[in-house]
Amino acid sequence: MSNVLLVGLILLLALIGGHLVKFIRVPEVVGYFFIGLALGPSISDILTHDAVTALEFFSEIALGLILFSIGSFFDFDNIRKVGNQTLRLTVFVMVGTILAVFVVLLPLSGSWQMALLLGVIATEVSPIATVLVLRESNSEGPLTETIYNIVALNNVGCLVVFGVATFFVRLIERSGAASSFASLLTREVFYLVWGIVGSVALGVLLGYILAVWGRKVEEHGEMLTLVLGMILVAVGASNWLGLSSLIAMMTMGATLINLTKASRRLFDVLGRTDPPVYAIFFVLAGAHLKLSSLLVIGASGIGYTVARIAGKMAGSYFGARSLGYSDVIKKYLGVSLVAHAGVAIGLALQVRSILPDYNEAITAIILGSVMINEVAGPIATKYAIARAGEARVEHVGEFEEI
Amino acid sequence: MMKKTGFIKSKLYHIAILSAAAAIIIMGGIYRQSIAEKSAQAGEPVIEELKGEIEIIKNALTKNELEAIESLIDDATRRIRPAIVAVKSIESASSSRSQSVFDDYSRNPERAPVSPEFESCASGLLIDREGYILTSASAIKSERQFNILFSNSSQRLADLVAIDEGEHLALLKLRETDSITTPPEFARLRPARTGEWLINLGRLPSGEPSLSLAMLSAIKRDTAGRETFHLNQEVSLDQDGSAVASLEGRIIGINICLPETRCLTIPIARALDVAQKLRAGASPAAQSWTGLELQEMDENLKKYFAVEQGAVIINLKQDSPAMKAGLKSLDIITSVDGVAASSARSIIEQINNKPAGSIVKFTIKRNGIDQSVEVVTASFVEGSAAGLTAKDSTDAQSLGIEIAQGSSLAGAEIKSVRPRSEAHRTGLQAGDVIVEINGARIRDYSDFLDKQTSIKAGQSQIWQIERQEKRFLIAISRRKPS
Repeated sequence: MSNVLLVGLILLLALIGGHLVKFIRVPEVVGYFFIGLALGPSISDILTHDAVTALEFFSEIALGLILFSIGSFFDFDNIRKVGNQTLRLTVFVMVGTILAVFVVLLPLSGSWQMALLLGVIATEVSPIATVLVLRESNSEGPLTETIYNIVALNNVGCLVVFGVATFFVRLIERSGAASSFASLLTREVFYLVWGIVGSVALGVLLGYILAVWGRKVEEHGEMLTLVLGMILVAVGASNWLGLSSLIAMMTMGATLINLTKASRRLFDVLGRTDPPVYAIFFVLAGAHLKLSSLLVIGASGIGYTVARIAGKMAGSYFGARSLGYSDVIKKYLGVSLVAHAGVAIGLALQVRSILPDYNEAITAIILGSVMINEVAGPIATKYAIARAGEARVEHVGEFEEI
Repeated sequence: MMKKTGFIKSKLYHIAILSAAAAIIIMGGIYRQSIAEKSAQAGEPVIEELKGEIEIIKNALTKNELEAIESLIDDATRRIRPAIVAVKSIESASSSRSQSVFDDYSRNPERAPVSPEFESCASGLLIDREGYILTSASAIKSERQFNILFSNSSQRLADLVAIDEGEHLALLKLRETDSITTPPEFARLRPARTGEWLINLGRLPSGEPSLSLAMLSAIKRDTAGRETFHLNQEVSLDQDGSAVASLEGRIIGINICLPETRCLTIPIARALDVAQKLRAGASPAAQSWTGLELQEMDENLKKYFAVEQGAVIINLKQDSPAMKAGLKSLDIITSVDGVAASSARSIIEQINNKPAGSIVKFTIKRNGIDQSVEVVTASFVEGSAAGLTAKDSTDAQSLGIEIAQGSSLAGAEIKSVRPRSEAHRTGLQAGDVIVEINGARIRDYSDFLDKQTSIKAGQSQIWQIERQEKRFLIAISRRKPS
C-alpha cells in the first residue's frame, strides 16, 4: 500500500477510533493508539514495519511540535510566579520515581546500573499524551497549570539526569577497557555538556530568528508556514548536530514567548492545525508496539510499572504537601503524570547499548510498561482532572462533539 | 527587577545572547566533528547511536544467533558428512601424471603436496542405500573402476555406471553395499532462496574433508532452461563434486567444475533425475541413445505448433545420432515407429527399449509439415564394447575412443570420443577414420587392435586421420596401466 494512502487511512481511522472510545469516556489518544495496534504488525500488518519506519518522521515532528508549545510555559512572568515552587515539586516527583523504581528493580534485576537508568527513564512523562488530554478536555485550573509546568520541567530534568547518569555508568562500564581514560573522559564530558548546552543554544538561536521573523508576518497561513518551517529546521538541525531535539524545541518555544508576547498568536495558529500530526503520532506509536510484549513483561516489568506510578504519586503528594500546594494537587497530580511513551523507548535503546547484558530485560520492561501506560496514562490524566473539577467539557451528549 | 527588565529591553543584551548561542553551536559543532573524525580513524563508529546499535547486534549475534548458527552447521555437517565420499581413480594413483585436464588442476604446484596413497579426483555424494554415488564427470577419465573413501576412512570399490555429458555428472555404483550409511535428506521439492546460507561439504584431493560457508547469490537458467545455483563465492576446483546443503542439513545441490574451469551448482532434484536416468539407461548393456533433449508440451505450446500430441526437441547433442539424421531443435516428434507419441517420457522410454544400433522411425512436424526421419541409435558410454575382450576394450578405451567394428577396409572409424579423454584432447571426433598408425596402414578395427598391442603404453604414436576427405596427423599415447 502506498504511504500516501496509508497516511490517509491512518487519519480517518484515528478519527473513528477517537470517537468510538469517547463513548466509554476514554480520551481520544487511546483510541488512536488502539487503531495503531490494530493496523500494526502484531494484528493486521497493514501498517508494516517498513511503513512505520518510513513514516517515522511524523513522530519526530509531533514531538517537536508539542515540546515547542510546552516551551511557551517558560515565560518569565510564569517562572517568576511559580518557577521556584514548580522546580522543587518536579524534583520531589522525580526523586520519588527514581527511588521507587530503583528500590523495586534492584533486587529483581540484580544490577544497580540497570535499576538506576530505568529509574531515570521512569521519570519521563509523555508530553503529547498528557497535553492532548488536557486540550481535549479544555481543562483549566490549578491542577492543569501545574501539570503543564511539571511536564515541561520534568522532561528537561529527565533528559539532563539521564545524560548525567549514563555518563557515569558508561565511565564505570568502560573504564576498564578504554586504552586512554583521559581522552575517553573528555569525550564523554563533551557529549554530556554538548547535549544540554548545545541544544539550549540552538533553541535560543532559532527562537530569536522566529521572533524577529514572526513580527513581519501577519497572515494566518504565512504564520503557520513560518512556524512549521522553523520547527522542521530545528528538529533536523538538532539531529544533524547530535543535539537533543526535545531540549532545543522547548528552548525555542521558551525563547519565543519571552521575546514577544505577540508570539501567542504563533502558538495559537499551531494549536489549531496540529491535531492530525498527533493522530498520526499515536497511531504509529500503537503500530510500534506488540500485544505480545504484554506477555513477556515479567515481574520486573510489572514491578517497574507499579513502582513508577507509586513513586510519582508519593513524590507529588509529599512534594505538594511540604510546598503548600492545594489538596487537589496533592491528590491528583501523581495520577495525571502516568503517561509514558516514545521518548522512554528512545532512552531505553540507549541503555541497551550501555548495558548489553540486560538488553532483553530492558526491552521487555520498557515496551510492556509503555504499552500499559499508553492506555492507562491518558485515562488516568483524564480521571484526575475530571475529579479535580477542571475539565470543562463533560460529555453530556456524545453527539454534541460531532 | 526593574533593572533587569531594562537590560532585557536593551539591544546589547539580545546581541550578547545571540552571539553566545551562535558561538556555542559553531564551536561545539566543530569540536564534535573533530572527535567524530578521531573516533572514525580509531575504527569506532562515528555516531553514538550507531555504536549502540552495533553493540546490540554484535551482542545478539554472539549470544544467540551465532550459537544457533554454529549448532545448525554442526548438526547438518554431522548428518551429511558420512555421505560425502572421495572418488579416486584406481589408475591415477600410480599413472604418469599430467595427462588429463583434471590432473593439471590437482597438480597445482602451489598446493600442499598430496599424499601419494590417496589422491582423489573429485568428491562424490552417496545418494541411496543401493550404493549409487553421484560425482562430477571430471573425475572419470578412461577408467571404469574407482576407489571410494568414506568419512570413516574405509575404502570400497565402485564401478562406473554411466556418464551424462550434458549435465557433466557421473554415476558410480559400489560393489559391496552392506552396511552403507543412510544417505542424507535431499531438498528435492523445497525451492532454494537467494540469500540463504549454505554449507559446502567436500573432500580435498588429499582426501581431507572440507567445509565452507557460502550464500546462494543467484538462481539462473542456462540456455536449455535448466536451473543452476550460483554461490557468492567462487567454487574452487578442489570442490568438484562436493555437495551444497542448507543449514537444516538437506542437500540442495552438487558442485560441478566444467573443463573450462567454470564451476556451478546443479540443483539436487535435477542431479537425482540424471542419476535415475543414468541408472535406467545403463542397466542392460546396450540401450539406444539418440542424443535428443525433449520437452513436454503444455496446451499453449500445442496450440502454437498446431499439434495434438508429442514432444518438442529443445536440444540435440553434438554429433549425436539424432543430429546426424537431420533432426533439429523445435521439431515436434509426433510418433515413434508408427506409435503416436503421447509425451516426452514415452518417447524416451520407447527409444530406450530398443537395442543400440537399431533404427528408430520418427514422424516429426517441422514448420507445419509432417516428415519422416530415421535415426540409427548408438550407445554412448556402455555399448559397443560387446564382443571385445576385456583387454581389447581397455586398449581402445584407455585412449577414450570407441571404434566401429565394420570392416570397410577404409580404416578404423571412430564411433565416439569420450570427453576429456586422451583422444578428446587431441581433437579427435566421432566420425574420424584412423587410416595409419606410425606409418602402417590400418584397414579396420582388428588392424587397430593389432597395432596397439605392439606399441607400449605411454609411448607416443602418430595417427593419420581422415576427416571429411582431408587427412591430418595427431600424436597420442596410451596410458600406462596401473
